[in-house]
Amino acid sequence: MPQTAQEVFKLHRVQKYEPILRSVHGTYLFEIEKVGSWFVAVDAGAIKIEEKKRDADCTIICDERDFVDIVEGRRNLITAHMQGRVKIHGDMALAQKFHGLVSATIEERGAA
Amino acid sequence: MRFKPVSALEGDTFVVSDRRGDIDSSPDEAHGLFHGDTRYLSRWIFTVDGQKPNSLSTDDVNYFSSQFFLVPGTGTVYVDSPLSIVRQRAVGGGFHEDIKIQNHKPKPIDLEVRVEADADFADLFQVKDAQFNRSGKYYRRVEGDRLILGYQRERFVRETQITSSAPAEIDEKGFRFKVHLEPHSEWFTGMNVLVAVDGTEGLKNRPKYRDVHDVPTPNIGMSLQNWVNAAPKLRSSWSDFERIYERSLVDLAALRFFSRFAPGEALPAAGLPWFMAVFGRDSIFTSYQALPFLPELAASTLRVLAVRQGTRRDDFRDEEPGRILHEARTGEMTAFEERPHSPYFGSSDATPLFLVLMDEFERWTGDGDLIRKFEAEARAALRWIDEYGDRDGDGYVEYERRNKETGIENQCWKDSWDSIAFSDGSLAQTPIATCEIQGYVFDAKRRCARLAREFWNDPVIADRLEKEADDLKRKFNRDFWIPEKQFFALALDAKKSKVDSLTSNVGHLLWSGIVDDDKAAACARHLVGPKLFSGWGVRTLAVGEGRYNPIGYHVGTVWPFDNSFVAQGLRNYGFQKEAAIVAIGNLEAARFFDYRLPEAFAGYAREETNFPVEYPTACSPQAWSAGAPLLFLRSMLGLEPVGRKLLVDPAVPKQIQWLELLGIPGQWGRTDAFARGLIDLPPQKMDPRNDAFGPGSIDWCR
Repeated sequence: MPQTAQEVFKLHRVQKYEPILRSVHGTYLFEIEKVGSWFVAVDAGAIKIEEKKRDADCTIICDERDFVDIVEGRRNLITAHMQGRVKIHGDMALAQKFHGLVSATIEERGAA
Repeated sequence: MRFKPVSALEGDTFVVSDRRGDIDSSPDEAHGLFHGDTRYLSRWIFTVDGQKPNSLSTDDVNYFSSQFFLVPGTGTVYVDSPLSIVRQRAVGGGFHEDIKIQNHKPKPIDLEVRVEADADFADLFQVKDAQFNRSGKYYRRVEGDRLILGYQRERFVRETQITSSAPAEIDEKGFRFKVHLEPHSEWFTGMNVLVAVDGTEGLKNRPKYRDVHDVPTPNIGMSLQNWVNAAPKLRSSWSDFERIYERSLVDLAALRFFSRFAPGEALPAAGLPWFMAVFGRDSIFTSYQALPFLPELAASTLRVLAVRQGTRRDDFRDEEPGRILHEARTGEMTAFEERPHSPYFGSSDATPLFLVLMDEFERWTGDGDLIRKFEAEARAALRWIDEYGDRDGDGYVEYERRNKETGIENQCWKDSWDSIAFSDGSLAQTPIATCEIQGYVFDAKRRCARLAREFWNDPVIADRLEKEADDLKRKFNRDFWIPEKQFFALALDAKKSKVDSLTSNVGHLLWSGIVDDDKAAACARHLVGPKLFSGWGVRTLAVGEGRYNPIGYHVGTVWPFDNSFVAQGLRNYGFQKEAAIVAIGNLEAARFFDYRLPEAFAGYAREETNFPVEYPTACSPQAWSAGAPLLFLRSMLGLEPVGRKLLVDPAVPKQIQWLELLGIPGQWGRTDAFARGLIDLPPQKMDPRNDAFGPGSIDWCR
């Protein structure tokens, strides 16, 4: 179970294709406060992750604790955003799809 | 005497005030400036020398602005007022209000004008339930020329910022103006009330009307005029029909709502004031009603609902993979998961209805790209029907909430706690399979078979869906039919017993096409018979049933949206006269509601009251009620797309001598429909507004 943003992205970096993102085309920038930035490009399910700051369609900004909690399913991205814990700029539809990806990933791990 | 509040709205920002323009909220009065399901002003009181002026006249200029004409209260009749006061308000990113005071006297006058402001930042759920327990802290401060009212709970921050163009003494409770008016002169100030979401990062909202001379214009998509111009033109010998139609178009424009999850896509919110939010079912039904008139609503609805389709099992939100959302909210209670609406998925009809709309959209517009784009979402919705909707594998979709605390018990359109009951009044126990949802599933599978064959290049699934639809129809007509009563049961309950009340749901079955031909006539007789038909419309529950109550929300009232689908269902099975009876009854009722059909009205018999009685807390405007006249029009004109052509097969009652709908959009471009009234309808009872007997006597002809 990942404890840091680095571990989360390292876990996902090895996964090159995510079926649930089959209909998703777009780029994300995750800005993890005081930790770093990760650029994620999704093209019809194919995922490419780079540890760098670049312009993206959807930027998600939060602290590391909240990020890991969201990825691990302990916190809901959308309500965290509503609470002001997570900032989302740009394409909210992509943010929603990320939420779906996180959920599916957790379920998959739970089932495994 | 209580007067109706005045509302102005734009997107999910709206103001509800009294007829002076004041906001004075109380548990009984849901006044306020609302944005994002939060009340940003709960008090906004204008006084002159400590007195509230009296209202002379109020004008809802258009849906996003209003004007209030006031005079100081003299307490004496036939004394000319020395002052006139005009308040003009335009909603957008909060609101802008111009206040003008004119001195009509030949002498100068000094006044103390005050505007008091306060904000409780209540969640709309709290306003609705009149429960105001808060967990955060309030603050207020004067910063230069602005008054800031705020609320903070952890990092959840909401602020109201108020400024005035005229110099004022500002304290934490409002603005005080020392006004000196020379003879026949006027004083003016423009006030900006801004809503600020997320105080941690500064203001996102800007004043929409920065200058007092700004001309109010809506910022949602096309302007109101362009919106109305884009719709077909209705001309009729019955001028009231034209007014009802225009009112519907304007209300649908007013209720357009931007979801943050699909910027640039305006879809219909459900209704003012309680339901200015995305509702899956309501948006789908409204978009269906509006398809022949404003097809872009359906496209937006499909896109937004597809984006937010369920992806996992989440019991708190009643979410399941493939399920279409029920309701999305953004207020404090939702943010802190005291309510599950982020979004909440507890409706079992929205998913098959999403598929129905998808097919209907393509039939009208010929836009196959959208069908191809959302193939994965459509397949996920179909899987939800079989894997999650049908909870016990009996072939029917049934519902039972997983969220026992704050989830919805009845996950069908009649979602009151008491809406699904046996004829003796006893409540049905969940899991419940309501009849109309089975109809929607039948229709969805049949329609998706076509989509699979023509757009998804998948004849195998097309064949399978058609077989499943046929099997469902056969089984449904066996299991839900009550031979001794000659109508379909409202539902099957947890024990698979037939819930034997007579309801309007029978009409939705006709609309879906699931009814065997040999049972349709009996259904039609019931729908326009005295137990269900009030003279104004089809009641939700028939007179004589155990829970019948003419002012019961889903157990006796008349819902215009419901009636529009009943009428279309009757028409689909060839019951032209019955369809016209239902349509005309509702349209006549609209005349008593300023040509705007409300969410619901009472189910009293027409001969008992002679006018349709209001339902106390009905939303107005309500999107699917605004859409109802459009579907009535479609049903009377018999509009059906057939390939790249539009079939017009009118069945218009004689009382409407003629009807023209010009410029109907679709994959044929634009075309016109013309009809003459040829259908004889039975006479109705007295219409006191015309002092004669209608409908034949109502002023149908210009």
